Amino acid sequence: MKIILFALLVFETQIININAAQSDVVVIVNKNFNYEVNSSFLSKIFLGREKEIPQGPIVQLLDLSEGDHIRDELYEKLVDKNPSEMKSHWSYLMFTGKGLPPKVVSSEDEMKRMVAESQNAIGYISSSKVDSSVKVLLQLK
Amino acid sequence: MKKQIVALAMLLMLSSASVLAVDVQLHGFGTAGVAKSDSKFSVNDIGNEGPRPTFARDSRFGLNVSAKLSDRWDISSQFITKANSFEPITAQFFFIRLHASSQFNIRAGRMIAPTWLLSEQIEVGLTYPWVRLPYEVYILNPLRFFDGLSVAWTQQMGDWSLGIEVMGGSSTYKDKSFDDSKISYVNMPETFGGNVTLSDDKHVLLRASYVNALINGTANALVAASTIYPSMPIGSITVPSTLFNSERGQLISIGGKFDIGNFLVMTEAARRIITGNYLAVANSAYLTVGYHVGELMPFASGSWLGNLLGTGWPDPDPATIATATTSLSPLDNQYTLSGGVNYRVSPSVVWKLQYDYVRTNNTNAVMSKNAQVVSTSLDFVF
Repeated sequence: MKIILFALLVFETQIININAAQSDVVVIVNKNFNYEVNSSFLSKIFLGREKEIPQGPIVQLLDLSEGDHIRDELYEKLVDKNPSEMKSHWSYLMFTGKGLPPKVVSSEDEMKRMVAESQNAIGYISSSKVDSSVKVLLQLK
Repeated sequence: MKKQIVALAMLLMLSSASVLAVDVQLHGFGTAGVAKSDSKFSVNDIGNEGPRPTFARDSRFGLNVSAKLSDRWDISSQFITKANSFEPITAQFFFIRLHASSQFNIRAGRMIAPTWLLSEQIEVGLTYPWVRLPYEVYILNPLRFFDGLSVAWTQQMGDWSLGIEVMGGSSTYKDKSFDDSKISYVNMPETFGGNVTLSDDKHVLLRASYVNALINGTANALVAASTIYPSMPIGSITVPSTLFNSERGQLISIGGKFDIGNFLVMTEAARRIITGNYLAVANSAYLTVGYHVGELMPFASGSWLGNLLGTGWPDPDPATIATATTSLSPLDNQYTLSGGVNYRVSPSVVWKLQYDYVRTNNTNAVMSKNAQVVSTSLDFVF
């Protein structure tokens, strides 16, 4: 009986791991956001190099807190930088007076809520968290 | 009084920002560093008492307070305290910025002068591999910050960003030598310049810059009495002297950072030309190569400073003796060979260990003496 329970536990753990691995990061915007933005431009937004969509609004960039694995995954996939490189990047911009880091939110749920409420907000969550309150701009696999 | 008014204005602005519930951010950086040379003289501004280890040369702490006022306006301020600074707290910058369009932004207030490739990040150790920036290059820059205006233009070109910045204003500050023996008063009423930057945000950063400044400077130096009055073998006296008297300084540099694969290469060449009552041309350069091995990065570096031409002061009276101890003579040169290692403890903390081999042909007790220096530091940001 114990062996069966152990086997079930291992099986369940593996399913959870597979689900976590399969959950991609998606860049999300407000439902009413109607501008075309490619991944190259998005990477510049997430690096603080661009603030304004061409023929569009100034965006409000949202970020998860440091150490969040969704955050690490986004920057690895979108801008090819690890957490240390991102820390150096923002330290350079901030402490030289060249730029301000994005507003940090505490969770994916809060990020989704803020994006749903703000016309110009850009954020990111895991694809499993997406619902009808937001629009997916880019899926990072 | 001027500083208090500006500080009060900044405080009021930041308070207003808090009241208006805009996004106010507080961040900081610091370095806990210790250095020890084997010389009884000052080497690269590292103290000369002993020679004992000193924390004063490299240790510092900075705070940054910034607020986004609206989509187009933000304010930033940064204050630093250093063990070897004249003032307990120095305002590195406090400015208001307008993002006029996606390409233009305009800043007004106090800003760090973008003189050399790394001038703006000179105090933020986490952003560069050495314990301190290459001395032979960065000692040439007398411009710490300026009060005025800066206009920056950026153009995205595929994966590359081209940036052009022009600035103008004035700068005034007091400084002291590492051992309190000399206090300098530097005033640059006319300062202007700019830089061109090309970057891909990942692997390559190239920058060329030019700054032109009218420089006035005086110093009160504490010198041995016997230097001026041979009949007085002991004691010391304060000697006022003129460092610069409306000299025109031109500061030119070109540099690059290449972070490709496991290799990090940083290099810069700089020239300072001072014209006026005397003429001095100084050239300097450095080359650093590092190799990433996980969180470790060993590196080797060489930097050099040479004075191609220096006519010296036209009237070397006793009052300028102190100046003579801080000016390079013709054909003087100095180089430092360094080796070290960085260890990234976490994204926010880096530990560094560095060995410097300093050699100079100068025999007049100028900037440094032949020496070996061992330094270690812990750099952090939050």
